[in-house]
Amino acid sequence: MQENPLSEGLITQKTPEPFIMVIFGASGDLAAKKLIPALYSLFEQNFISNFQIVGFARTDWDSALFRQKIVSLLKKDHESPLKKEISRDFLAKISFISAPYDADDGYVLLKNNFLKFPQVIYYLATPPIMYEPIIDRLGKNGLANSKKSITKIVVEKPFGRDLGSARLLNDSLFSIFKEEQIYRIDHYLGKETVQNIMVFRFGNGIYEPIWNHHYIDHVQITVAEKTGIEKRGSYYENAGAIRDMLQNHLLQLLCLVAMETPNDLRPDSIRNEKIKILKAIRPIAKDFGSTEVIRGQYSEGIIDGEKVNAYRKEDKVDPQSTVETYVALRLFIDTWRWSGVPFFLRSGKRLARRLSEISIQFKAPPHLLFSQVQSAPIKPNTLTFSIQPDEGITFQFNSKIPGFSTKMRAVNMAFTYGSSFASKSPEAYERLLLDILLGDPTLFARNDEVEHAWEFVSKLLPSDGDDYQKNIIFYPAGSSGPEQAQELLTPYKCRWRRL
Amino acid sequence: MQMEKIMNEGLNALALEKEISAELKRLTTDNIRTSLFNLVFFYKDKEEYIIEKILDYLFGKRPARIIHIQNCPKKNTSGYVKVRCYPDSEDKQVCFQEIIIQNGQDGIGIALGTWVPMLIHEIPIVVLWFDSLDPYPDILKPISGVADKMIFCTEWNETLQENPITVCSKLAKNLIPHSDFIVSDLTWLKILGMREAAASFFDPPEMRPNLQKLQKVVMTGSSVSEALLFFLWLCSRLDWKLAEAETPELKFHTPKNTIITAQIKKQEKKQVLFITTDGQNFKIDFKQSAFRDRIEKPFLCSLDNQKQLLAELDSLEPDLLYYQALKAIKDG
Repeated sequence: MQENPLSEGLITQKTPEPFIMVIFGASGDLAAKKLIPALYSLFEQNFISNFQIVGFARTDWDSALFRQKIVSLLKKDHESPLKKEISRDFLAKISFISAPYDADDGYVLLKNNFLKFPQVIYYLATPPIMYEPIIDRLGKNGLANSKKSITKIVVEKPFGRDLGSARLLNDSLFSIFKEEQIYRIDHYLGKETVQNIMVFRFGNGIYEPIWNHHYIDHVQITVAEKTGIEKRGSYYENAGAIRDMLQNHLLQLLCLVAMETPNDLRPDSIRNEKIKILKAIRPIAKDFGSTEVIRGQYSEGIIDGEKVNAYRKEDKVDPQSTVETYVALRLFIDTWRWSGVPFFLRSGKRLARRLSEISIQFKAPPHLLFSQVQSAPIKPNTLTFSIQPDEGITFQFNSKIPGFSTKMRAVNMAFTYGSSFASKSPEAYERLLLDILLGDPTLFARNDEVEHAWEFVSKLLPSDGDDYQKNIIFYPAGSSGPEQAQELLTPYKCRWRRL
Repeated sequence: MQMEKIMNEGLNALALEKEISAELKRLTTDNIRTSLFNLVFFYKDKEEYIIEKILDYLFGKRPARIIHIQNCPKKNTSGYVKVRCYPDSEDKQVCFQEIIIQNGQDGIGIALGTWVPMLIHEIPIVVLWFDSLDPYPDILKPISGVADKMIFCTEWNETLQENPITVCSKLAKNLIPHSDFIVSDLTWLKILGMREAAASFFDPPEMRPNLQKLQKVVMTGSSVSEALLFFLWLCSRLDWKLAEAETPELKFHTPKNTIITAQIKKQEKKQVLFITTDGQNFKIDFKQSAFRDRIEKPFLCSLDNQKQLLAELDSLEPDLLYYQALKAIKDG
């Protein structure tokens, strides 16, 4: 076919095909706090225009009530005042189906009345237990594949409870959908700094030569939350920090820091490199669990000047629960690049501060020239990717303190998105939803990626009655987590970074 | 908004810097956003309103060091500083640190040695040229040595009674295509929607062969600058060679050595008409096109398009299509 020379070089904003998004679990927190605001924001910024949103839930609401809830939600949470015309047009595109997930009625209604767009997206924002019944009904009612439209399904974490259930869920999805139709979402990958890790590593010449065991002493990855489990007691009792955070967020961040350079930016090229890392993580034998992994649970404490309950006193939590709300571990990646470099990962709830970061600590200079004039130990160079609350990158190095002596102290070179670009990064869900609509799976986990992550994590999961299960360490809410977590680092003569 | 002016008779960079620091201290706490770039505006003092229009858009969004070089009829150059700040959503002050140089007949204000020392080091330097080009035919060369980017607006020069063909020729002659120095034109950005509409119009496979059969292109409802840049874009994309350029008509040679006439007509309707050798007429009504949102910008140089202007100031990437379009006039 003859080329169109006029279109060459014109980078036009990609526009998604007109679509309908069916949100299962539309009356829940995720839809209210993340999905609807993200869709509204995309609409407001003209990224999407021709679409319909159908809320699907068991809750006894109708379309009018659903719209009313959305208005009050957007009024409360949206950053800038709602524009009358925009919110009116947005609301006109919204409907609601009140129906059980495991009966055909709602699906039939959906099929007969709504699926008239060239792109159909099913978003599973329900508790994970409902995933399989929904997938099953979508298949039985002939909603998963159509000659007239492209169909996609979005699955929220946790993707399974362990390796076995993840495989079952994958099998269930594959019985109806193909891999390219499935988007397993981990919202951490939609964050600007997380995406910037690759740009930082592979878009700059100076870091890759030192990004290895010759120069890096250790790596710390922290995802700390100040909040507790909020109203998710029954979910959390079946999850815990290992399933909720380690299997997805922490291991995804680990992959981005540790992976080799992909050959190109195609989704599978990047995912293949991430899988190599997951495969190379040295397994932690359950017998060694207590020395390589620390599991903690928050007890009563003070946060923001207010007394907060212990986990065991939270709503819908077993008063004798041994579910971990904190996990810290030490792991190794058995590759040439990372030989002998410990990676320390931790995540917890009700900690002193909300903080997510990746910190690369470099080795000390081989000859401590300044130890003769400086009694205090010289701080090693540290490169930190801050993911939240403030996204940015900081490099810490030593500098001479002005004066007549040669004393030194650590100083920071800091880059923050706000001060350098003066524009707000899009919310993670906005970016990820747009990628789904445009059919770009780069920031979503592939089935084998999920299974390899579970393969490592499943071995860390306690089972009923074993000693490891009982071996839970309590930490006061508002603290930095169990003190014993420090023991993971002590043999390597380093400490956790301050929260 | 807070604003302060201090008169200063001298143009000593250090002294002005001290005055800016003092003003910043007086007006704000330490909670100030670091400046993102230097903006250097060249314009005639009576045209200050257009610069203020740009600054109005930027104020509160981008902290910057701004140097105004106003061409004035007075004898001697003088200068003063001005600081204005606005708190952003995080209550950090987003400030403009402005130095206004009133360039007199002595020409001191425009000299690099006057304003370069006033720039903040190690952050991008963007020069916005809103002055005539006639007195400074080689201005790109000296500025390319000190700035990262220079932004023109051909349409603005058209209002200053300069022929857009001459303006584009001058820019083309002085353009250094493979250097780090970037040149851009706000009028070129303004016609992006028109270019997209034309590209999209000829995108269906059955429409593409018509591009090789063009005989005449007539543009109406646009400024000469817009039409000229649109024709130069067509010329570079379709491998034509510019044969004659005399407003309101341009002539191009195609690779098959046929002649294409491009005409600029004064009519209300913003549209382009393509006439082929086999007598077909294709009309694109820009106001009806899918890209109309980007086309219907009544104001000069698209300065009412805040996002586009911000994007242009933030970007340090050359637009190679623009360079190729200018090359068409250089080679012609």
